[in-house]
Amino acid sequence: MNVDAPAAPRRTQVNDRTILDIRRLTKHFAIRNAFGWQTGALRALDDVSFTVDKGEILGIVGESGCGKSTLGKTIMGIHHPTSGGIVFEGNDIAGQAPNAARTTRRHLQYSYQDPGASLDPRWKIRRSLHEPLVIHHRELGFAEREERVRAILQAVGLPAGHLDLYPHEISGGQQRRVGLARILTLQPSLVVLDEPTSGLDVSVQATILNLLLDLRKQFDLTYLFISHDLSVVRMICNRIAVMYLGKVVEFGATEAVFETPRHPYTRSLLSAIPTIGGARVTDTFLLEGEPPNPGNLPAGCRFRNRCPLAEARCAEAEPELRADWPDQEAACFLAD
Amino acid sequence: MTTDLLRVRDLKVSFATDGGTARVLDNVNLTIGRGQIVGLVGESGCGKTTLARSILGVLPTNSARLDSGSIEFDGIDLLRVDPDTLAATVRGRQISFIPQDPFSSFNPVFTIGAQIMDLMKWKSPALDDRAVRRHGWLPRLHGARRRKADLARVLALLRQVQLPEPEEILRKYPHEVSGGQRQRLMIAMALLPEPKLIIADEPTTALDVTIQAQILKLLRGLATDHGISVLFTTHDLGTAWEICDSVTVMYAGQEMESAPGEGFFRRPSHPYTNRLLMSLPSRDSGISGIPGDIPGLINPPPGCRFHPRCEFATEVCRQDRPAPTVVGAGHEVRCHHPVSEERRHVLA
Repeated sequence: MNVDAPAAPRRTQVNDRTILDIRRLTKHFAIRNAFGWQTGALRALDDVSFTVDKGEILGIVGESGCGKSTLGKTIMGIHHPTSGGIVFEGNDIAGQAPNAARTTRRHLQYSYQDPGASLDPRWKIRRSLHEPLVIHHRELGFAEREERVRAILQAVGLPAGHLDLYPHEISGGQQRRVGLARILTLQPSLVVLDEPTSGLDVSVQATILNLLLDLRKQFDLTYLFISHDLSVVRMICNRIAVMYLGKVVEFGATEAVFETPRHPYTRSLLSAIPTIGGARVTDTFLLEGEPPNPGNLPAGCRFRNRCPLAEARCAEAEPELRADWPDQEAACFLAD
Repeated sequence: MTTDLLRVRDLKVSFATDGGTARVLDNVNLTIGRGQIVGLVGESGCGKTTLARSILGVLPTNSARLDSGSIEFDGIDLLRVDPDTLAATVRGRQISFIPQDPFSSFNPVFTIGAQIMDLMKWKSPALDDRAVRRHGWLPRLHGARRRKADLARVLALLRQVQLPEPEEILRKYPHEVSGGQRQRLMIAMALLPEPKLIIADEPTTALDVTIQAQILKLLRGLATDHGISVLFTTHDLGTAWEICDSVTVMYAGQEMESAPGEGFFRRPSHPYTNRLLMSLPSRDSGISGIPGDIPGLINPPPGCRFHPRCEFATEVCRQDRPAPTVVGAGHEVRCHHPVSEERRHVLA
């Protein structure tokens, strides 16, 4: 392993099951004034570290603007990290040269929020599905590619007849399936799923989630599941990372985080989900205000302006993740 | 004499499209009591927005056709009233609207204050309706004094929807405030004419859960305090559980079930409703979707439109649309084979 970034302190340690190791990953976007001078930095990701084990589903949750999509895109190499390391299958892939990155991307795939929208409207489904193989496996002939494509199409539950259709001729749910098939043709080991069920009706969402679970078993996949829908995350993820304004504020086994949330932000977030048959959120919800502007964060803990527990020391220093509980870490001075 | 504020009966609406006539609403019934929050729940394309727009009277005139039925609002049939009268006295006055996307509803080149004050000029409840009708516009009799009174009222409204620093916000442009604040402004604007009914079209879909919880809390409080009825369309059963006194479920242009909130979630009686509730992610039972796809509305299945996807369907479902059956207090279901307690396990 050739990694410059120092390993993060007190974090889930790397073991032989680790497929992805994120080390103090930071991504700042420049804020420029009308003359093009940099006047500040938008800290989209700040010192984010965690590891992903092979075969697990790791959920990244948070509200809009918390940096969860930036995290997925930085891992994919779509954004270049400002600092920090991304170790994927033993190689540091942060800031890789385009040529080397191409090989990596075979095994590391990114599924956009709406994979159907990434299909070319003028191409038949067949051509869209062949394209990744044409780029990454030039040795394959048409017949071999066709064989692979048909197998994948069957795996996502679509008839082979769909190969001759255009994207507009199939429904939104089917487009998502094609989008997934397109990613799977390269036999990746890790897939970053960015909001895979947003904008779907519940009945369609249910079938897509079941499909994702099936595919994971069938193709031995690991998912990084980015979502704002906590009930979906609770159902399918093994571990979750809760993000707030570019920082991971809580990390741990899904059950532990949902049963005993330690960070006050996680508590508020969980108490905001409506539960049918349970107590009404409108009677119990307490959190006031909205997240501050990420270009101008408060000193110390980022959550302190909205936090019901905040004390003087929260403004002085920024809390680090503490692994003080089994299967769980939280970045708060006052969590117990 | 009825106590209901709004009664939609056997409403039929169709749209002319290139592919033929889409029968978007098929004999739909809906009742809203005074001071009630009624949830109109359904998946995309089920006709909930069309129903909301029919009540508001803002269907596109070149393609939509109201075939039959009645919309009775506070004793008058909105479909039989002359459109000009409707615009002057009902629409935007007694019935107001909260849109799904609060950003595209503001004009980006004017300040928020200018836009709210403009609304105040036309829809202020203090104005005499007769003056509007006589002049076609409002005689601004006491310029400065009225502006001052209007401003005071707008500021009071903004405080009511719990916006911090209202004077500051009036000077801002729409892009300078956050999504949650924009939605609060929309609610303030909907409250401005002191309506009897607010139609809220998925008002929390574009918001994060913590902001959604704040907005739901606000809506619930305002409806209770002012005795305003709300028609709340949503595709999210969780939010419906949160704030609705009663729920009406639609599928492919037909209403399937309507019931008081508690009764609906504890004893869903329509097979579709049961399936919908089972599609929600839950840890105990996993999830099961509904097999099949939502039918097209140009050639919808005859009879009950859910029958091709329903495991209880029989010959009669293919031929007749079932009439409403009462299965509990205020609980009506339109199904030939409603799901009773003994049969619920069949679905699992």
